[in-house]
Amino acid sequence: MSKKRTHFSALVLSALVALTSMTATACSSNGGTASSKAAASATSSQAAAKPKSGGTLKIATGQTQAVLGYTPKITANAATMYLRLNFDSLLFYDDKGNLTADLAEKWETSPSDKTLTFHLRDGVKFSDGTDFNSEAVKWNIEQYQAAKRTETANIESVETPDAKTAVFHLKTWDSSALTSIGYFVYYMSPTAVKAHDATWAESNPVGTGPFVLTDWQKGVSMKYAKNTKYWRSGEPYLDGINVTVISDVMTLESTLQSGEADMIPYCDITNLKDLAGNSSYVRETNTNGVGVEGWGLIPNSSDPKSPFSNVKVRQAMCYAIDNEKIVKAVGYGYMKTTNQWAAPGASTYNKDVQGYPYNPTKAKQLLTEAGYPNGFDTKIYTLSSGYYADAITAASQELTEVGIRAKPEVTDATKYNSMMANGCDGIMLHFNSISPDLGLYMGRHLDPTGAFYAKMIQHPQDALDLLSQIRSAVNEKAKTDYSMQLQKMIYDQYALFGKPMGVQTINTMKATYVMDDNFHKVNAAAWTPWSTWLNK
Amino acid sequence: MVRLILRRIGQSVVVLFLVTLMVFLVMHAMPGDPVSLYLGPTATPDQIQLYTKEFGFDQPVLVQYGKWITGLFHGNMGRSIAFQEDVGPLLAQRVGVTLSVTLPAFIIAVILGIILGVIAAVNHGKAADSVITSLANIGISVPIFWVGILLVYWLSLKMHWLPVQGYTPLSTDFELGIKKLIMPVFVLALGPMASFTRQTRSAMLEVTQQDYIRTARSKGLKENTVIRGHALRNALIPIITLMGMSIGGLIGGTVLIEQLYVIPGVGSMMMTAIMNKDYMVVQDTVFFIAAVVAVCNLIVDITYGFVDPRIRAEN
Repeated sequence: MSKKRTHFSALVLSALVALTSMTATACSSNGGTASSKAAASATSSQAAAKPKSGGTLKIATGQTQAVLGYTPKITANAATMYLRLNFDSLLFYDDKGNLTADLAEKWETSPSDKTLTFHLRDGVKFSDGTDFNSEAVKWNIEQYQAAKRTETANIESVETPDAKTAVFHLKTWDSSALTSIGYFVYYMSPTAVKAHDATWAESNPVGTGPFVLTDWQKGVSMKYAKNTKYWRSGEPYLDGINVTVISDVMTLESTLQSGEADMIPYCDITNLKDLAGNSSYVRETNTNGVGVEGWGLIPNSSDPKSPFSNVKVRQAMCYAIDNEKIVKAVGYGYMKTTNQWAAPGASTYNKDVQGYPYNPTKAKQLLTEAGYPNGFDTKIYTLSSGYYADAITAASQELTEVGIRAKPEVTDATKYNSMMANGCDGIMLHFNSISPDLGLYMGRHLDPTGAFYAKMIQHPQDALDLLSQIRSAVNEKAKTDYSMQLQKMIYDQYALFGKPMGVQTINTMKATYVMDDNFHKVNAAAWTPWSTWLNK
Repeated sequence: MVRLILRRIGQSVVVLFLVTLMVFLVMHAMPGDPVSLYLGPTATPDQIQLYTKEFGFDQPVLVQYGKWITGLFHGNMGRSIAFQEDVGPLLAQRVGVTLSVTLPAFIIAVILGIILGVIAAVNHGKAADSVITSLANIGISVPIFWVGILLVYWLSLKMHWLPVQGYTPLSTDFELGIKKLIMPVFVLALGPMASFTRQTRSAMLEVTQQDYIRTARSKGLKENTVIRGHALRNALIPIITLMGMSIGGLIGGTVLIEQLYVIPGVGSMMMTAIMNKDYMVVQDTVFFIAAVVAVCNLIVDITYGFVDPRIRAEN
């Protein structure tokens, strides 16, 4: 299960991006203090005490990593946990989901000039002692572009007027550009990489982050020590962090219970269930809806021969499934439901979306109107792992009851990934990063050339037009307004992405003495290792 | 004897070739590809193309197999996509770890299994026989994974005697290393030990019915001498066969045990590789395991010759 989740958690990677987005008024300016305490304050209700220095945090996790040092090669969501130990980005998030300063002290955006200007923090050094400056920024962007990273594909050039200023010239203005460039690029020491090569850098991270890697047994364990050249004054508090990779969920749980580990990030839902109610542990989860993953059922509407090419059949499918009941059963109460591309409470959650509350009578009626009074046979593809298979089995029974005889077909992750890119002939499990930035995340599904599920859905022109308006919006209000309209159109009018089922929150289970780690707080995959301390 | 050894080596080479070819073809026949699995769903077609070429997955399957075989002869075991490292050094690091679990498990299983089998046979029909036979049946029947979890629950979480998981080389910390080895070694030894017990008991019972054992006893030899000097030695042939066969089982068991107790050996590496469709690692570990089993069986065959002069004479 945990392994499969690793593959799909990459979806969530995308979802890290955020609420924020563009503070982009015509040419606005932003700034902020990068104090970790700002981010930490939101989450440290347990941490009324003053942080103590020292100690080693022991992490047990099922999330392994093949590359730790050459950041353009690191794409999976799970990697964020490791990336934040050695590296920083230009921007980070606050607890409300707004972009804040990190390696950049302040920034300016200019939609008319298609530029992003970052003013870099003074006195920041890589762990090898070299300076972090605009040339380092430029060199890193070139590495990302060579690795064909989508986050940097829209950058035309990087200008470095002085050591502390980097101006990004974009090919086209995109309201998601600040997040893509500001948050998803992690800066390596050019000197260290050039002295060796990219292959060496894969195993030898040299960044500006709070820790340095001292020992790594691939697939087994990592040991980190405090970076003495770290730029946040007085931080990190911990002397070190030891990570043990454990793929078996039972062993993970026992390791925490025995005290051999202090926390399990990305905790499996079965562990949460087992450990719930134990006062020795605290569950951490995302609360602002940023970066969380949604899942549901998406039908093939692109094939004209498919019954699902008819919107009434898609709507019938949605009415036939009681997602409230299914999500409650498979999520053990740790999962919310939704009826659109957002978690309830997120900035782009449209309360006017009606959705499709469970109504089998209505489903049968719509099927008859669509010309399928006796129903039809189809397939429903799912993963073998975890609760997905259970959920799909339940949904398939409910679909069969209204006449959509959907036979469950279990696939492995590799085949599933291939189907995500190329489509399937029936219905399939749908994963989506339900970030408020619809231009970025829904676009990956809705665009005719989108990477996920795009080949199996229709692409209505009015929906594409709205998507385009979201992307070119020059202020936050316009962007949110268009997003709300798109939610309504996609779900109520077209039922294009089928039935949204659950909002899966990402969880960390930790001992009560682990403080201010902020796991998942500001967005689902982020944490603040520099502010973490042990209250014991 | 030399002819026997040469013939068995020849057979082993053919078996190794067929096993690796079969595994290679099966791995490639499975749906999906390792590159998209490694890069995750956010990978762009350009990225996938870049990595596919880098790892040579764009070439025909048989060409890839040919390159792997050729590389093997030159000491190059290929590069792992999941670990982003050459497989040779990776495997070398992990072989020692696996051996440190399997070797003690094997020795304990053989010694205790034979002793218990002899005790059961000597006390045939008595309480000791019933107890040992029942325990052996349980040892064979229970899934080792379940026993492993049970031991963690009692010895680690309840009694706090042993660590839950992990591996520490004995050279680094002898006491901690031993503590971490106790559960995995015991769990791994359990099944083979039960098999050895049953096989020894059965072979001993058969041998002790033979005329030469009656003759030995009628000559007035001590029972201990009869059992050790005459019965056990002749009962060893089927036990040696079982030793050879149990090597494969032990290595198979390490895949589970290394996962459960988080031991960084060949078994856990193979598991990770299979999950990631890491062709090179799967191919190399299967080759390694098949070679170990082949060598062990070869040793067993040679041992036959020494233990039983009739086999030596036949060849």
